Amino acid sequence: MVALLVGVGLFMRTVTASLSVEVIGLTHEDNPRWWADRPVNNQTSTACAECHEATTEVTTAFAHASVNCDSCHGAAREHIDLARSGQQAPLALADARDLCTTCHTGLDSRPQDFPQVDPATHGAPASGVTTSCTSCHNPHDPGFPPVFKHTLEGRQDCLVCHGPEQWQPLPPSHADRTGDSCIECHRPGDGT
Amino acid sequence: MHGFVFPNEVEIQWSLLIVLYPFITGLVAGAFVVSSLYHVFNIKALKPVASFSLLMALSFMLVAPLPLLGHLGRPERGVLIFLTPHFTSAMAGFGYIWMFYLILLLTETWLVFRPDITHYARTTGGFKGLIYRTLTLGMTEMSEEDHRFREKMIKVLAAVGIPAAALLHGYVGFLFGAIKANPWWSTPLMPVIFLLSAIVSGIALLIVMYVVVMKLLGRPIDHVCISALGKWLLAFLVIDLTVEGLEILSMAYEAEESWDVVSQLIVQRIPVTYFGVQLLLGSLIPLVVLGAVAAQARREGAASTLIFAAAVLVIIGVFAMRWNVVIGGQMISKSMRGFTSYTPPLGGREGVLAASVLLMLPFYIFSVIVSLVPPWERPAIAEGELSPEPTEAVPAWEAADSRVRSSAWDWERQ
Amino acid sequence: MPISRRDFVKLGAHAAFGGLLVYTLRGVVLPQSTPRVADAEGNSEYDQYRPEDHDWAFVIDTMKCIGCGRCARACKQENNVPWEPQLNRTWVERYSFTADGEVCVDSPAGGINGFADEPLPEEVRGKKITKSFFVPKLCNQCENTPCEQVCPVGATYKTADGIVLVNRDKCIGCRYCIQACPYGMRYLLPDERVADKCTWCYHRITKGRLPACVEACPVGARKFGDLRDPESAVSKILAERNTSVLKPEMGTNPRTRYLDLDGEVV
Repeated sequence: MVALLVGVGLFMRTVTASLSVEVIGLTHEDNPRWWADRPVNNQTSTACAECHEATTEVTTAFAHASVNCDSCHGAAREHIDLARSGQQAPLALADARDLCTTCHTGLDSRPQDFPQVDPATHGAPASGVTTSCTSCHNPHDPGFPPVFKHTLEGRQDCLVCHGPEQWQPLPPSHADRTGDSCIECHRPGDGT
Repeated sequence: MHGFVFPNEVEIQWSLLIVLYPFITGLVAGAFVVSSLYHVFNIKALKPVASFSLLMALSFMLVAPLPLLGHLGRPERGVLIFLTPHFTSAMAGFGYIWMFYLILLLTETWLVFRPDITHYARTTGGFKGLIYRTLTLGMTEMSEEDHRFREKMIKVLAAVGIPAAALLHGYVGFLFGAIKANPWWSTPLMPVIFLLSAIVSGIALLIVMYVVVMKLLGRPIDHVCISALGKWLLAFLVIDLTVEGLEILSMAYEAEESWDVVSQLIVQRIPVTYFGVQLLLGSLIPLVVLGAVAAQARREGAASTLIFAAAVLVIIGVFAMRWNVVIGGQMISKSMRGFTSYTPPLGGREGVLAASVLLMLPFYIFSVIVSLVPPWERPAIAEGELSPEPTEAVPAWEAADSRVRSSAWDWERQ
Repeated sequence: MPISRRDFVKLGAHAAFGGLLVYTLRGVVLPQSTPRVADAEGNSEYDQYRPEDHDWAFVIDTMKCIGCGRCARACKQENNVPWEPQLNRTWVERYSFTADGEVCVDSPAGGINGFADEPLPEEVRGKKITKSFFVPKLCNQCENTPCEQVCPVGATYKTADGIVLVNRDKCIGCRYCIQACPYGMRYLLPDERVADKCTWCYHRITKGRLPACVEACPVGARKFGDLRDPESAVSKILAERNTSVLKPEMGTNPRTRYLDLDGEVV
């Protein structure tokens, strides 16, 4: 009888251990800890501020303060780990129009007080010029009108925004310069 | 997919194998009840199939855990149900209930066939003889005391086995019936419905197997027995239909919130298997046929053929019932606004091929067992090696006085 | 030798006693699990965390949700939820009410790609929509937990701080819990073939952070906090506003409460 029990005990100790892919846990004491130790992949702007202080300051001061950096730039943990160890790991950013329209396309189901537009008719497309949302809106400070110094990239037709009937018409000082090329004075890339 | 289903519900979780499991345990419970009807309640007409049904129950019982094991995401951890059961779960009961019932079946079968095994152990040589000698467990002779003990234990086990069979299949019904999240499953009547359809399917398969096996062996069929089985099948079928009908009528009448999706399920998603196969083919037609045969009170070839046909339909109907419960219930989305669909794959762990193999396995096991201990030949009795046994169960007070010595030679002889 | 009744009974008694002994001493005969550690020295921040001091709760404001799907996306990135097949720990549903009283619900890919490019479901396309809103869904972490009740090996359990977790070492993949959840929150992981579900980012909340979906939400439709802290967002809302739960008739007593939940939401 005793021999039988000892035999069964040894059998269970050896065979059942090998039968189970993981070692059988009898209690749950360790399991919450396993769950609590999972890696944290999404970060808040606090983590991004470590290197990108200027951008983070802007973002957290304006309308997109509630938008996580990860929402647009992807989960940052790997990027942060690599960057901290000195390696570069640029985050892939999707097309601006795709990113922006996800939230800002006008839908019946969205609350009325949420800023939403019809992407087909909003902004420059109406004038036949293809622009990206970021042509006019700074994603980190998306208020309108854009108050940032902007490059000329993607904004070839200055008159789309600065024409006589448009959002920020030329100041009176430019009244006599309609025929000239703007880039003679406003050099591309320096935001002047 | 129809309507709106929750994102995680694109595939149903419990597949064809889980349809198989209650079907198989149902057959076990049903066959065992027939065996116990003879051993405990002395329904003499069922004598020819009493041991036959026991072997049938055993064959199916051995296969019962296989569909479950095949379905688990981690079959190698299946043993945890025995080691670390969580007893608020009906499924945790499976391990112990199945094991207990298997031990009971094995013990009763061994006791019933012990005279035969000891006889064969003595008279057969070679490898087969070795098997018999192993089966005797070293006890190669039976004394008077052994015989008395054997009879008593068979009765005890057969009696204990009835509630145990009810538990074996009732817990499966409870497993489904206690899931409040699923409106098609959730009802307190589910254990009763499962048990009744189990008994019905067991009796039906017993009829089919008995007739087929006897025909294959060229042996005569006991029409009195078939007629009795047909009557018992009819009785349980009536009760089963009543309870199932009550359940669905009650649901339809009360028309609670979930009735919207449930009615859509049975009318639009599973009308063929529900109305066509389960109700019409599998219940109403056999009911009429069995009723007509019982009313005619004939016991010959034509009546037996009709009963056989009805039994085949009943088996198909009960399988459809298991399908409708398991698959049908899962087709209803928890959103209460849509349905998923399910077509079993042909191959793979849970495919039609695997299920067919699992269904054929008990018959193979049965053929192996009856090649060792055929229940229709009892040589130990025929050759007078055993002391005569009473063929009818006598009350204890009568046995104490005298033995009823009727002809022991025709015990189970056709 | 012939077996006597006494011997038979003795054999049975021995077997039963032996089985009972093995069962009670299974801690001796079965190897113990090895604790998983956070770092090489075996330290984990969780050692300083006392679950019994916290009482987590979730509040969802359906009126604020804009259906951008950032929550679902953040969850997948945070918790390595499979992208293929399309399984979700959290998702967003869109409810559309038509003028003739029809209600239509859709959740394309669980809302992962938002709803901006998703057409309305066929049944309501072209019809006049009178009311429409989004409903984010996630595990309710029920107090009266049906999934825990039905687990045959006790792999699913509830922590002292109110979260229902699945022990992946013990789960046998029977999927009874998936059947038992009235909200369809659970699924089977395709590779490990064990059950999985939303954990309210247990690895974040035990470190004082918010779940990934809460942080990702740009409009504050998801609120999370500790009920033991009267200053937390959820405590304040529950003290001042009326809330409701999904499928209250199930009696699951969920920890996830909804503001402005329409009666049509199931």
